[in-house]
Amino acid sequence: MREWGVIMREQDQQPEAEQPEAPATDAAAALQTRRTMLRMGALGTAVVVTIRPGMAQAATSALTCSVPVPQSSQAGKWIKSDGTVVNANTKNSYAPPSQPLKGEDVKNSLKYGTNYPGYNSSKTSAYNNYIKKLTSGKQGYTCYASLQSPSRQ
Amino acid sequence: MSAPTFRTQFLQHCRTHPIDGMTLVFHRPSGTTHFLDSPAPEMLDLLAAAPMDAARLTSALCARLGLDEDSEARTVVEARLAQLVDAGLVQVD
Amino acid sequence: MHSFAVRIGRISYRIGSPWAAPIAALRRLYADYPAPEDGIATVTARIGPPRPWRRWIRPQVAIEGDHSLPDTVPMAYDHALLAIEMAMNMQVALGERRHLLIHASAVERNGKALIMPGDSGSGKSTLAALLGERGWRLLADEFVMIDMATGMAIPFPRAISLKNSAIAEVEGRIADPARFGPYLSNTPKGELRHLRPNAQAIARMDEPALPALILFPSYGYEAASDGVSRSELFMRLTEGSTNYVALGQPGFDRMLQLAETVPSARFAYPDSDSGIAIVEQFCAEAGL
Repeated sequence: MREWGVIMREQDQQPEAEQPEAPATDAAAALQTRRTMLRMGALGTAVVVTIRPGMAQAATSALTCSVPVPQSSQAGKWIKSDGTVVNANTKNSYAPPSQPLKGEDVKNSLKYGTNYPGYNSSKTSAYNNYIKKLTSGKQGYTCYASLQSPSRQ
Repeated sequence: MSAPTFRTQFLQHCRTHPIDGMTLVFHRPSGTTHFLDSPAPEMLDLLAAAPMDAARLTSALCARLGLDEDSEARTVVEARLAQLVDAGLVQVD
Repeated sequence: MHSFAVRIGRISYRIGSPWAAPIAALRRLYADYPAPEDGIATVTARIGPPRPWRRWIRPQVAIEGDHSLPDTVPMAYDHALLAIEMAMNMQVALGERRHLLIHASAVERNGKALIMPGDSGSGKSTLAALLGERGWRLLADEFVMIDMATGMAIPFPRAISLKNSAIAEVEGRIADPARFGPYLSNTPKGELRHLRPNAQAIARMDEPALPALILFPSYGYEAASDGVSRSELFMRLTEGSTNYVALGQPGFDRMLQLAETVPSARFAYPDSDSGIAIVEQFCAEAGL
């Protein structure tokens, strides 16, 4: 099983504290910036997000809500290809994303089949299956609901 | 051939406001609104004080943030500079 | 040319049409609304045939006016009333400069405004219509107008657009059939019927309200709710504003003031009664 662990661990998996709030002290700010600078895998994300509102334009919304995969109460678990949450290194499961998935990325992935930046299609598919299983009360559920184009029949 | 120099008139041109750990920016000349995340605000601060090339900016930024300057740092700074130039907040010559 | 002039809040419209019937329908929909002050209309909205012969031969309706969007598809003559409402929207969306526009519905109680931004299908119109019959005053269905100088929400009580299943639902809850416009089938927005706001909303259309709560609804999901951060709120409000960019730095300042000072949350709900219950709960907590 030790060998499984070595094979299954992802290069870009780094334990990251999920701290969306503004740092309270200079030391905390520097630490957050250090994490930002060192997060090579996240170079695909932007540090400049330009707002482009308008009647007929797609929105820049890297700053809309995000969906943690899995919930923080299940930190350390992995995601099976069918979306269920399992122990780390379980067969047919994948390490979760190191950051909550951004709302705009979730929307595009569900709608157009794009992969999450830095993650391949197998992982993207597993994460999406997890998201589709979300129910009321789970972190990210309302975000997921707000990203859908609702249809009122 | 010398390395490109980056410069900004960020301070004169922008209204800024901290929000949720990021910086919200209104850029008057273009009328565009941006959200900036670290290290973009620090980079703009340094460039506003003096135009620099990417190598100097990387050193200055690492010094300011108390980080060791490694090869990764330069790559990150160049990528972020490109985003800032794209956004019209930094000019390169 | 047939025309109709009407004042709705701070917007005075003159609406023109080469066909008589749509103007008659519009006049009925906005019965009891005031005329423009001193007869002066500042916004012109028109419908007309996309080609001259389309006035009579298989008539089609295109939206015209001072402001326009290219490549809009002409609509069927049967949907002319909808086209007029869209023309009225477009002129304000593209031309308004004295107020910051938010794409949202809004209702007022005790001088405070609940603002519900959302796209078509989010449920914002239906919720506003139903709240308007339960002790709230309807302020707006499509655009919330924020006064640039004061930050107050200025009423703009246009006819409410009810779509698909919402039509029967609201018909069941409002006794007066005269408040409903004609039933429009197969429009680009689905089945549609307009509802005139009630007498209170019309009589008090000059009373502003203080924005006090911003709730983002998502219709058709299990009930759940969550907070919205200031940055997300700023982003969502600007995404849904048609004139934010045109207003420049004052628009930025005003939008920032809203995002910084008004509490906000998002919620999902399976049906109107659940939605209203969640709204009332949030409002109780927020002091509305």
